[in-house]
Amino acid sequence: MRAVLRLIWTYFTATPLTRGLAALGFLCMACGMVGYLYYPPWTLGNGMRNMALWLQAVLTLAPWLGLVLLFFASSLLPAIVERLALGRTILVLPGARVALLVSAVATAALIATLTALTGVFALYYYPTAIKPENVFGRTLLVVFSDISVMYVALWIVGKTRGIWLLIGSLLIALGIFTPLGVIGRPSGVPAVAWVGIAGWLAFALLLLFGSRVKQTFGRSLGGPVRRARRALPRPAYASGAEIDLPLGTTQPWLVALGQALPIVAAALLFRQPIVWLLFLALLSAVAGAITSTAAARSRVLWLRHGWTRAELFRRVETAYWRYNGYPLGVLLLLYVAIGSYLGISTPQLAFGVPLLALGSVASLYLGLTITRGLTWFEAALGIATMGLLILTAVTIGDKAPSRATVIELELALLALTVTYRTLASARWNALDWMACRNGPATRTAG
Amino acid sequence: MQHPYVVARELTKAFDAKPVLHDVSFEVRPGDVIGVLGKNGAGKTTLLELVLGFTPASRGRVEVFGHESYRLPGAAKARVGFVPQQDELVNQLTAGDQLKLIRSFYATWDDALVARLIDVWDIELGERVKNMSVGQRQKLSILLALGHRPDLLILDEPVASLDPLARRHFLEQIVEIAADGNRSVVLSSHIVSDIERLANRIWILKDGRLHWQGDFDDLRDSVVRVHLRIAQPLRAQIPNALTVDLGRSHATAVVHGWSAELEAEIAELTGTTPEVEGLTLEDIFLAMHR
Repeated sequence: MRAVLRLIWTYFTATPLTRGLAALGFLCMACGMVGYLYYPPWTLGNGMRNMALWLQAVLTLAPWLGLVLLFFASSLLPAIVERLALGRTILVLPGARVALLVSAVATAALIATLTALTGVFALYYYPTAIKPENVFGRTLLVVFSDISVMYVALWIVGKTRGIWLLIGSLLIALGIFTPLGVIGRPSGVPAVAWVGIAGWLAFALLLLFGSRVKQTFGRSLGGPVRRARRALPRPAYASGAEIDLPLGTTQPWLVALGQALPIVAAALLFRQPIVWLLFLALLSAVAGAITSTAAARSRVLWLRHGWTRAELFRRVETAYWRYNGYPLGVLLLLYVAIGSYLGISTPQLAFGVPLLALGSVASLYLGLTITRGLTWFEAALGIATMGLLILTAVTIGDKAPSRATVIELELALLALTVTYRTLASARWNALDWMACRNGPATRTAG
Repeated sequence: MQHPYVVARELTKAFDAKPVLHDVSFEVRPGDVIGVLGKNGAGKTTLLELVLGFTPASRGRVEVFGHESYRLPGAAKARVGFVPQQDELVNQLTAGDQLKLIRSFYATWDDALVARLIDVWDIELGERVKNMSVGQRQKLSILLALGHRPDLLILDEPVASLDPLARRHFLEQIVEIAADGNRSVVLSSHIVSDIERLANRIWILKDGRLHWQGDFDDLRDSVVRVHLRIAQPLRAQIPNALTVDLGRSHATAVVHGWSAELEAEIAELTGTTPEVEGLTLEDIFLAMHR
């Protein structure tokens, strides 16, 4: 029990960033809940009572923001569980595997329970046709399952690059929106809950028995697996410059093509321009974010060539522009094609193109500013950029978008991008490779 | 006499039909400090993993505290400490948080010992693991394995990354543990001088077999270098010789199984009384592998 509690505590407090997120998340939740309980409800259609609109908005959103913050506060759970579960030390720690499993389940259950409670409180605050007492169990189940998928997505994002990074980000985006669409339905256990439950079962089996299976059969299976791998066609370096190898930008087409499938799926699933545009804006930022590990990767280039740090920055910048050109090109083509097919208005189409381009370029330069690991400063910049992207996408997605507002927002994004570029250039001119270790936090940020 | 902590009988382990250990039998008794020596690939890590129950034996059986090692219950695990070759620390945590995490798995924890070692080894508790040097990480790993005062401490090449001062402190700590007659240490290392200073029993693995196991003093008495003054070329091979260096009037051989009978046999063969020289563990190890 002590180990389980310690593990849960560790998931939420592993780093100053997660501690801050957890504290802020609980604070937001507590304030919002108090608001739901003690402030008079706002009856839809009847206007406000005794409260300003901004206060109403803050009260409404605070607990939900708190939940998202709490989830991200526990974002190191997959990395910590993986590190402990795959090691050999766990095999001699008494009760460690069971404790690890229980702690992961309890963490997901904690967030799911808080979400379900928030849902019930919110329905008392905003009376609707859905009865609050019917919502708790359903929300608990759906969010608990959904969170499992989100943790897997976070693990993927933290571990990999390229196409898997996109898939992980897509899963996170889907994970955030899925419960909203599922919980309100009248009855039956939704499919996402089954997927989540199956996921937890698989995780439990792997955690409890995986290492034994690996130890028992791993080396025996190694031979056939190696032979099978040799039989498969091997990836070959076909194009690109030498600089692409250390930077990991050799296969831009793979990422570009990898985007196509989720975008088409999203277009079929979300026919509302606002959701679809939001999705595309997030994907554009993800495609650019590969640069977050560039500083650590560039050391070998500096050693190999006679470039100064300033020259190195320009070369790396050019390489990423070339690399991001492919995914961005595909993104824009699909945006115009599917947007026209779905009947998005011409102003929306016109405003969406610079949004996607700015999303990609802003994230590219934001990633290049990360030269000393991820700190509060870069995290805050990332959240601000993502917020601005979302706000712009939402504004464009409106049925009658305010052109002046959209232009202002896109200009703000442009200004942010130019600032990031200046900051990145200055940091690369004084690049210290001892300080830019490529840790998991940086990869997750990417 | 106390029961042995570890009993292994006719252990064989093969991977992919390739044998790594053959018919190995041994015991670890309370108070033993066992140094495991062997070339790379000799099977040292596999042997330790079999004892820890990480992998099942292909044939034979290992018992730890009376339980089959592969199915070791929690109570028995609480009596085992293990330091892996490569640390398995969580990079995101600070050293202090890592300590608290591991501490939470044990019912007993020697806070005084841990505090003393933190001081002696100069471990910065607020330092994040990912920012620690390799040596600092290894010190922390060792600390985590010692904190619950295990009865059986198994260390797989733990000191390679430590500076000489930290190694000395670490070895002193092992001696302190071993001085408590109820505890045992099994230590594999390539730094033979450390094992020489520390171990009271030696296992030497060669080609997957326990080439030697026994008291260190017995090993030193058994394997010696003999110097022979010879007037004419030797007519026959020196019995039990591991290595032989022949000169015109002088021969030097490292022999095993040294005894009065062997001395007499060599004297008769060479017509001269051998001069005997004791060997360091490193010399013995090298002679066994030539």
